[in-house]
Amino acid sequence: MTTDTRRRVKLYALNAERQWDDRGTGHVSSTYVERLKGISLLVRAESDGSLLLESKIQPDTAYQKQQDTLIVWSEGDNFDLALSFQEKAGCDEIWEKICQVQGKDPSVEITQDIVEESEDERFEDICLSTPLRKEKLSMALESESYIKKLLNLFHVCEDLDNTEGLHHLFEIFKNIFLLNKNALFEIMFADDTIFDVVGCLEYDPSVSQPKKHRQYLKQLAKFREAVPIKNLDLLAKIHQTFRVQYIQDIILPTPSVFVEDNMLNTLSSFIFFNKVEIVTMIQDDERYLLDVFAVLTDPTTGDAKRRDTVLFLKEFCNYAQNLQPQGKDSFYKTLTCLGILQALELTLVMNDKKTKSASIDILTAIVEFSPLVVRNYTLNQANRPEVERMLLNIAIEQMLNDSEPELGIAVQLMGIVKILLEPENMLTEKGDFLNFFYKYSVQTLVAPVILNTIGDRPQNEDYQTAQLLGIVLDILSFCVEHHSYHIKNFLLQKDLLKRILVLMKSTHTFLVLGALRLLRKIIALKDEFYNRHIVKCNLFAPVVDAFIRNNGRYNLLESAILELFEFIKLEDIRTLCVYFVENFSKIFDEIEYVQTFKYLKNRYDQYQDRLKDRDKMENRTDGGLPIIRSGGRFRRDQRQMEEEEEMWFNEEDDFTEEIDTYNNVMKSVSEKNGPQTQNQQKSSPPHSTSPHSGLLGSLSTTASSTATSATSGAPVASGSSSPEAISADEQTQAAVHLAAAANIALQHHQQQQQQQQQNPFQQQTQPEIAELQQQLSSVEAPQSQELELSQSAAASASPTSSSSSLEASTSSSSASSSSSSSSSSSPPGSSAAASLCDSATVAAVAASQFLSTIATAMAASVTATATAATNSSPSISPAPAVSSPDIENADAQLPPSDDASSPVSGEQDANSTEGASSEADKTTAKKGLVDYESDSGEEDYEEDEYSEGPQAQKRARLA
Amino acid sequence: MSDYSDLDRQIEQLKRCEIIKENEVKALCAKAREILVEEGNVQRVDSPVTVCGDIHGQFYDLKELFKVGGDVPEKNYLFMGDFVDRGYYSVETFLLLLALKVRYPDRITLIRGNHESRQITQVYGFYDECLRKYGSTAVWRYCTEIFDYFSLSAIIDGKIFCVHGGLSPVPSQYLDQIRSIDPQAGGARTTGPCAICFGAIPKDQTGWGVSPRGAGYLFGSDVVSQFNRTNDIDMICRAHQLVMEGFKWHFNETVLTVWSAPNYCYRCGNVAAILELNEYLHRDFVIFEAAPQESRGIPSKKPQADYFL
Repeated sequence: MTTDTRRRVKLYALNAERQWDDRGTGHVSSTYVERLKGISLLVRAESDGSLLLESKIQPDTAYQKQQDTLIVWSEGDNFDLALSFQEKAGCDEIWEKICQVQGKDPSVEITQDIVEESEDERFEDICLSTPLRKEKLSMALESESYIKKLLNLFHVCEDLDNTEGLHHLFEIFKNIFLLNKNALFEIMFADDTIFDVVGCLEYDPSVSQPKKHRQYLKQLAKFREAVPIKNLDLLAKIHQTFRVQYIQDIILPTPSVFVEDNMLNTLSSFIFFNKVEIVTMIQDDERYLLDVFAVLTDPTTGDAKRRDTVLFLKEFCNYAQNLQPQGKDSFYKTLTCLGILQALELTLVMNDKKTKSASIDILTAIVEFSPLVVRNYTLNQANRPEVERMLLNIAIEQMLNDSEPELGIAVQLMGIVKILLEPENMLTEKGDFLNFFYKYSVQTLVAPVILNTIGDRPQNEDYQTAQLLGIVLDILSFCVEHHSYHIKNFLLQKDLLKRILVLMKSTHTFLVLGALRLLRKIIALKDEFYNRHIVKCNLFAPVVDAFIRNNGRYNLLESAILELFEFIKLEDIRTLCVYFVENFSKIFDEIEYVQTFKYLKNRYDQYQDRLKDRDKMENRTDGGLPIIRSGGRFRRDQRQMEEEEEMWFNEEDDFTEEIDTYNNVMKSVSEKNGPQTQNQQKSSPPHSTSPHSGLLGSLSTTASSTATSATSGAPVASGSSSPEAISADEQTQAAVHLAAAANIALQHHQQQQQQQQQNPFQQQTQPEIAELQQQLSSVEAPQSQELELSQSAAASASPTSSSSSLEASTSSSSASSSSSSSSSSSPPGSSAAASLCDSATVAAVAASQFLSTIATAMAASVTATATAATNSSPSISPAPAVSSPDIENADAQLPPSDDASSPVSGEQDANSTEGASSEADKTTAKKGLVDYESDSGEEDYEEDEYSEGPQAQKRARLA
Repeated sequence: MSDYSDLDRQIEQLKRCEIIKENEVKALCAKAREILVEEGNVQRVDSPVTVCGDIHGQFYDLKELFKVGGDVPEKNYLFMGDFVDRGYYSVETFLLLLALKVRYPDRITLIRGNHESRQITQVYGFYDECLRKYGSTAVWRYCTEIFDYFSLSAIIDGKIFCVHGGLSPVPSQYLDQIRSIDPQAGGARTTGPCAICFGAIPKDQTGWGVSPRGAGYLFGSDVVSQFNRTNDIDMICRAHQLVMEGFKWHFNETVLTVWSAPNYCYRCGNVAAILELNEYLHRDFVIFEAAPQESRGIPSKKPQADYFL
């Protein structure tokens, strides 16, 4: 037969998994079958001639022809069949036959108009079947304006209270949604149809009472405009999006978290694109956003209107989450240019809860997208004179003043602060920003802790305070983990750790855990500097107290404390092990349920044995040298160490002692100038001049007394020069000692500078300094050369030699950071060198010699470095030590100038004219301007410090 | 009793699968924290008690569980973690269990599963669900904070050790070693001590192995027998893995897996089980199936009345 290949077909049937099963290959024919009483399609298997298919062509079955060689139809309720022809001609032949039986024209692609004849149930079956059918169906729905017709029917049914009909309509529309066709959504969500569609969806057969969605959308939902939108298209889009969102969220909730199950994904994308379009339209309207921001920042705007404006912006930001990264970028740029951050400064402090919380949401969105923008903004603020309050500090203050019992605001702001402080996402702004934070903000942050730990137990034990303290500790723990030296300096200098651990006496266990966790984070760093501090301040005592108070209960606190000691055991942290065993071991002797303490004790005994062994050795060779230092705190087995390590350790040891001295000095300074540090906080720009409420309020009142910084330099001078005098006696050790002292002096010096620069009193010194500056300018040129030299020397100093690079960096950073101080203060020194050659200067010179000696010795292998170090040291070495004599010098020479000469002169360098103007300002005593003065001075200083950033860090690491 | 009236109302509300207010969640978490902070890493539990495995936000199936197993406080319960993620109702499920814990602290014990974590919940649904149902992530933050306070394991009458995943090489040679774990210290959850709750799986061979699921360890029969001998334990009860029959024995009835999420993910077709232990630790398994379709409500979100965009 010629029909052999033409009629060759494959028969497919759709299985339960909606996959097409191959039912065999054969030849198709159309003949009258007596049994079925009609023309039928027959397929006989190629292989054995058996009958694969015998299907009567029913008059109402919808046959579809696809891709010229495929005929698809449904048999019975849920049985889909397909014939795939080898040749188009064969397909056409059978198609003609089918059309003939059904009385159709063979040019159609589908023999029955499904829409016209489908019953509701039939309809449902079809739309849930194959994608192809969905496609066809939706095309039909669209082209025949079937939706409109259905909605007319809906009106009829609703008027007649035809519940059954309405239930059917509900199912129909639900299924239309499931067709996932954007074209249909466009029709259904048009302004004149959407309420009818929603109406259909009210009649869910599974609930007895229809839901009143239309009423909600028309009457309860309110569109609010802070600034009226004039663009009608935009308005229509906004309304449509709200209603469609309502349909998605409320009427047809998609509970699924499984993406692949989400039947309504086209609906989601409809909403998505609408939102993108809305954001774009608003952004493109140049006037509109300007108007919004004008309303927002206009002081005469009413609270309600401002609230609406903020809420508008919040939704605007929410919508912008849908943008692509690039679009988001320009979105936030637009907002920043319009002044969103300035506006937030206003709205964050508003008392209206909604305004405040929406402002925080906006800030969160910005910070999450680009912390850089906010950091740079904050840094720029620091440079600008007119800024009274800075965004970051406003955020911190708001956090501390959250009056809600749940502290929702505080928790959210904590998140913001942490993102801003996260060094991982910092770029070039890192150094500046961290400096900024530790200079201007951290004091505010810890204020509640300070305030609550004045006695030996927490002052205020109410739940809200405890929660707030928990938040502060959380941020501090974050800082300990992520910021190395800034936080270390801060914690140790303020003796803050001891204060924090007072909180371990809190009745709120979560707060106890918070304090413990901070300590644990510190111990995790395995930083000897911290460890010595722990030993010195006996910081395990509060931990052990808490353990004793817990009384052996097996709870989270106990586990956390045990874990802390377990960590010391595992990491073999000797300093802490020895400290612990010597002081507390008895208390833990009886604890057998963990092996930790037994192990720690054994470990301690091992250390002791080794020490004894070494003592014997030492006694034989050199009995004169004292090995046990620092009051028998502990001994080291030096024989086991490499020489360098030994050196390092010695240095460390002395360093700690130095720190002790230093701390004492600091203490005396802070005792003398008690209010000063606090005052410094207050006068620094970030702080509001308005009285704080809540915790901060009482703090600032205590801090209100004025500072007398005149004496602040003096104790330092004696503090740092006395160890030098002693050091002149001993040889090499003392030199190391001195290096450490220099280091500290430098740090201290920097601190002093900060304090002094912020001091309003500095202005008294203006005329004297102007004079000084003239002197200085004559010496300046050669000095700056020297400075450059020392910097390059520092830069070339190889890090391989720890001590030399330590010194190099010490020297260069001190040289440059004190370019204002040492260089400016040396002119008086040089002009009156003879008269001022006091003991301190001698000590300084001695120090420089020791320093270079050590540097050379340590870096013997790296000759270049060594020379660099020695080269640099003469020019610098005075710097650390000099900070004190110089101040004394200044005291001697310029009695009225007090100690302020050094920092202020730096400022003078930059702009002596401004100095004159600030003189004038002084008389008006305007606080803001005073702040500005100190501020600009600090900027000079900060730049210096920043240029030395890496080295300073290196130094800190080495320290 | 008036102290509890609010809480009882919240429990009733949650039992109807209706969420409670955001500030109520916060307050509930604060109360729960007070209770949980006093529990140990190995929480002691007395028989009789009913032990349950993963729930995974299948709220209506949890109700089914209480239907077949009896209500709190008539019955004591121990849930071995994974309350959230995957199902549609993680919020309601978790808050109901937490509210019951606060209301009847001695009647219900909740220990931590690998899904009780900030990272995992951001991927597997709990985060999105909180966002959808509350419009902000605050509730997610409150809940994840409380996750840190859950016990890691429990021991029933000193004889049955219950933990979400299983054993891990680091701490669990001796039960007491688990005592010096700080579950909040963070660090490597999958390799560190917390691995006992974060994904350990029993394996056919002896010794230890690394889990193919990328988290936690495989532990062999020798490890179990040594652990049980050292600590004088009869058996280890754990969850973490889907078992079609609801429960499954391993290693000559020394390790038991209990799974309590029927038709897991609404499509796995499995049955679920709970283990009832009477005061003599006699074991009784109760098998149950997914709640019938008609008893399930539709999750919804509170509509937002005012809009600006």
